[in-house]
Amino acid sequence: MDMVATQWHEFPAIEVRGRIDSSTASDLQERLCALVRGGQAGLIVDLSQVAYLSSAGFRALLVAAKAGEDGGCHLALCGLNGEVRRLFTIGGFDEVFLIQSSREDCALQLRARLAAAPPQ
Amino acid sequence: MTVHSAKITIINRLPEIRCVADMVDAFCARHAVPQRLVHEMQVVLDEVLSNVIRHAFTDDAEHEIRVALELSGGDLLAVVEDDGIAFDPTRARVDKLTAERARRGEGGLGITFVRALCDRISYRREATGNSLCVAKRIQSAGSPAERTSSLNMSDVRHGETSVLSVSGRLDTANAHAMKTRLEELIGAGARQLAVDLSLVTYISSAGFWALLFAANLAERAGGGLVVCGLRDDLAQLVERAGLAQILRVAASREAALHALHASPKD
Repeated sequence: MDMVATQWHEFPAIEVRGRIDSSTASDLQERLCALVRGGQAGLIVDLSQVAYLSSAGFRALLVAAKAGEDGGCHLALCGLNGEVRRLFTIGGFDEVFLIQSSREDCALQLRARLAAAPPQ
Repeated sequence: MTVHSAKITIINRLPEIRCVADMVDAFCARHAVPQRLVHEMQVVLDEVLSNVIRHAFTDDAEHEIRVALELSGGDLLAVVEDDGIAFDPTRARVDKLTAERARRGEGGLGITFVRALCDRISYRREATGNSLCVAKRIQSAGSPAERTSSLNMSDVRHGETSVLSVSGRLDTANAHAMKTRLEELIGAGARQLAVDLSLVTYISSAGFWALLFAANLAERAGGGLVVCGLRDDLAQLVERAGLAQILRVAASREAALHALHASPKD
């Protein structure tokens, strides 16, 4: 698994590539948690280059989403391909995360959320 | 029938899972297994192996875990063997999944993935440890989640007595898988067989035929086969169809074992 940090408009974005399994999930969790605690109002996680996630990967995303929630940073996911999306559905995570098709849509949604509930 | 296989032995440390994932990728690439199936098998093996590594061993010592992959009869099979404490994923209870529980690593998300992504799972507790076989059908349309006919089997063996637990639907395709498993058990020396069907929701004629075939095989080998745990509707079906005359049925697993060891049916 590799992670490439970039920027999408005003939001930090991270592209994850490869396998997210129990041997790589802790790296992902560490990286995402550091980013959501970086004082930004949103973080875009692009999963389009992810081959698959096991439960360890979902746990990492859930931990990061909670850390973000606690610190006022929303997590937005995009680029779920067919296989990855199916795993989200099996796990019942379709509704748990903010999921959009593209980074652009993530940015729009994050802005809308910020407008509705501006950070204190 | 051509059988291709690959094997690896790892120790009980999480980073070792990467070696298995590499082997699966290489093996599947060599045999042109569809990418979607490869990814699903990777998820299944990650769940199974991380569970074994985290929970199967009560000491801190190094333990070997053997993983074998096999391509046979249109199935991609993986067999995972460890010498840890008994754990049967086909019988483990899965609580209602919530994001909160999943985040804390509770609630059986891993087992949910294993069950949803496999076409067949069978577990065997042996004297030396656990043996879990997970299978994915390659030559089939649609994903396992879209099919309703999944079947899980697990067996526990004590000497010449085996208890096979079956869950799911015993339709034509699954009846064949169960028949094969029963033949294997008898071939491996099992003589007294209890078949626990308490988690079976449907039995087709092929399912009954498979049971009768195996019962006959066991009897010819000097043993017997008793079916137990039938749901009320299935028990009535057995009664009405007159199958109770030719198939030995017991209410519970205990009653089945008792019947098997009391006296063979004459």
